[in-house]
Amino acid sequence: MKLIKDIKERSNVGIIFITHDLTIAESISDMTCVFYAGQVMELGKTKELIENPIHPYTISLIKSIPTLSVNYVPKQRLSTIPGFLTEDDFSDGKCRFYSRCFRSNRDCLKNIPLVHYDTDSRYVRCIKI
Amino acid sequence: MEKITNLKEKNAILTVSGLSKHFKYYKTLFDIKKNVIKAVSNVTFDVLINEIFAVVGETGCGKSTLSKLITGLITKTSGTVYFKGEPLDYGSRGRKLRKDIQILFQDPYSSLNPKKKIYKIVSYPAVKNGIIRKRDRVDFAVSQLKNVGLQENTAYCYPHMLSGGQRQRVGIARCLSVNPELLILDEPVSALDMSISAQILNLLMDIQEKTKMSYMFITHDLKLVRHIADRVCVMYGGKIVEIAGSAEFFSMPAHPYSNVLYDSMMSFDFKSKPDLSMKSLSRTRNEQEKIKPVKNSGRNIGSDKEYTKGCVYFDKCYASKDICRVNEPPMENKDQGGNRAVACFFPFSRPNP
Ligand SMILES: Nc1ncnc2c1ncn2[C@@H]1O[C@H](COP(=O)(O)OP(=O)(O)OP(=O)(O)O)[C@@H](O)[C@H]1O
Ligand code: SF4
Ligand code: SF4
Ligand SMILES: [Mg+2]
Repeated sequence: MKLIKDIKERSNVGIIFITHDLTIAESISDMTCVFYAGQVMELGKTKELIENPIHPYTISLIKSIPTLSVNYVPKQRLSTIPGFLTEDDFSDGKCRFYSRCFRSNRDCLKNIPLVHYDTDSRYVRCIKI
Repeated sequence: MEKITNLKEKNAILTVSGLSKHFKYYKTLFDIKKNVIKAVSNVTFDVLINEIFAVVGETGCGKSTLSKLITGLITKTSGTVYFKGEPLDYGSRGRKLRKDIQILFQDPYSSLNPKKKIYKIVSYPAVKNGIIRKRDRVDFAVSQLKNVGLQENTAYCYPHMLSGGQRQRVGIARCLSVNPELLILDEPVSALDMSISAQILNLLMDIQEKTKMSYMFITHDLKLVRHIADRVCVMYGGKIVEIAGSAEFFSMPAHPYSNVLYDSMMSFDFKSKPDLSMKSLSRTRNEQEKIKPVKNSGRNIGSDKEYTKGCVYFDKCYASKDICRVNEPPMENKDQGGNRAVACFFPFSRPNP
């Protein structure tokens, strides 16, 4: 990690870092793109994205991670996203997070485009924001 | 080998005493002398009944080797493993004992036989141990799968048809099928994404609460340790450097390596969330003792280097003094409560009030 940061600081290269751990993304990146079922669900400045997630998938992800914070109560059940990604979720014609979303309703059964959200450089693929 | 008799007092399900594993290998094709890796070196600890005991340390520190030694998958160089006070011998009576100790591996993709249907995989240990008859195995597998939140039709799938999280549930079902008393979990969630990892952790905690079994939970992620463990054991270079109750450990890691690990984990924790800005409150260390980031040179960890003398952590320790070079620090209790042992001459401790 340190090595990657060093490279980034010293040279001019852009780095695309792929991880399933948002805490690592936070420590290393400027921009974060949250991917689900082959689509970008949310894209934004890393800090803003984690402080203020907008897409239900990003929100659920962040809630599912235990932390080292002193206020953290161990042994509680972690919040999870029900189910898992299946092949059906990749089909067009509906929001790909539909089957696991806590906010979904009938309106989500159509193609959801990536939309620009009010702050600069924040994009979200959800109709209920 | 003697039985351990003061078990009542200790309440231990597993006792590991002076366990070592040295791997011999040739460094290059032309080497005459074999090199020795002390992957696990003189390790001693207990896992108590109904406890979640976490083993943490960086890559290559010997965690997996330790779990394989306990389950008898590799032969030890020296030392003894006691299960409920009885020394484990992995020979003739091995099978019965191995039934009571099950191990779940990190990689759900390679740990299940790809050519076998799930019901066969899940029921295999139970059939082999004579718990069920072969013709009952489908029903048995289905009930086991239900226990871990999988549907009936999963039984007829092949592993490649399942997601990583589902496969790890299958692995858990297989472990539980023989009612073990100790479950060794070797990085059970590190191959899974975060939401699925959370599902599996919840499942494991539900099972532990229901069955009261003991877990030895191996991980390199302190966040998981904090979340799940009752006690923490920190390994470095094949040795244990600190064992402490989870609450004690996270209020103040004592060994210099534990501190470096803790701080490097802190840098992989959410900083943006407001409730996480309290880090300073949890530490009592002086500012000038601020930790440098962990220098990760995995190569010489638990490695060909001979740690015959001195402290394992000497090379990288920022608190080292001359004595550490020549003498090996013993594991000593450093807390009044006795819930912490540290192998260091100069551990951090709370300033006296
Ligand atoms: N069969 C083997 N032959 C030689 N060396 C080995 C063998 N197995 C492990 N080692 C060495 O023993 C050391 C400890 O390995 P081990 O797999 O136990 O580490 P670990 O803590 O589980 O690491 P990780 O976090 O990467 O899983 C390493 O230096 C490794 O190279
Ligand atoms: S569009 Fe609907 S289903 Fe998709 S993320 Fe938004 S609320 Fe959930
Ligand atoms: S014994 Fe010395 S070298 Fe080893 S960890 Fe403690 S201070 Fe550092
Ligand atoms: Mg390992």
